[in-house]
Amino acid sequence: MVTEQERKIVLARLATMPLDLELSLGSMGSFDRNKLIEEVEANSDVGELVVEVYIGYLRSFGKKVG
Amino acid sequence: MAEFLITLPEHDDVTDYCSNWSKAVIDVAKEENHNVTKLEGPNATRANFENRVKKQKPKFVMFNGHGDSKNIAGHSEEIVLSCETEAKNEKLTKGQLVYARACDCGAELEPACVNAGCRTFVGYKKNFAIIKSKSRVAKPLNDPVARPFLEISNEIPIFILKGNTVKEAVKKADLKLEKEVEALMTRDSFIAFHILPWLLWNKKVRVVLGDKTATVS
Repeated sequence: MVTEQERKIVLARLATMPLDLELSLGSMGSFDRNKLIEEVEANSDVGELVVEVYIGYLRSFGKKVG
Repeated sequence: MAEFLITLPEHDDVTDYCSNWSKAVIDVAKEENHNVTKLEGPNATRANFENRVKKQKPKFVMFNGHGDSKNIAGHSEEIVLSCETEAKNEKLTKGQLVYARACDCGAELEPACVNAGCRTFVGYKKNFAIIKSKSRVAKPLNDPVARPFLEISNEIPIFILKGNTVKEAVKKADLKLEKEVEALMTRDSFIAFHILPWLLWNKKVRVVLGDKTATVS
């Protein structure tokens, strides 16, 4: 379950993703920047996974600094 | 020398990427004098897989393809390996080392195979992610964004084929991941930020079950 603040952080980061890049998640499909933003905004399974992965990555920095 | 079987479906972008980047694995297999059986494109079917396993008795099997928790697919999503009741054939992995570059199969298929006698199975319990360039889809081997995803995952079968234990091969992949992370983090690039979380995710969801000291010899 993701918080609203976490979604907003990830949406802000996704807005910087180059348009040429595409995330492939096997049979779930491939998603460019605009599709990823849609998925996160819709709180879909893909959107929740994307937030989980990005936030997990950002938190790992906090652990290293702390 | 060992029998090595590899599936190489190419019916969509993702399978095309995985199969193209598998050429490096096949090259190592040949350099190490292993006998390579390739199930390429439309030949990556369940029937061909089962026939080849029965005939060649491969010591090491590498799957490229889509997957879910109970299945790995080959060409055009035909299931080639399954632990689902109606279609199960996981016992075909008995005695083998298996590396599956496929989503989700680490969750149920992998333990089912090990329980059925598979010696060691390396897979992924959730989605295996790849970031790629839309502009490079026609030439996957020229895609610098996708390169680290495929090269890191290639380390596992490459070092198994070179005679390392599964544990050592996985460690080699993790060392390559560390180097890629270090290189990416020193770049002033928006791309690095979008690649790193998914490289680390693939390691996080990787599962190794069975005898980690197993080798192909």
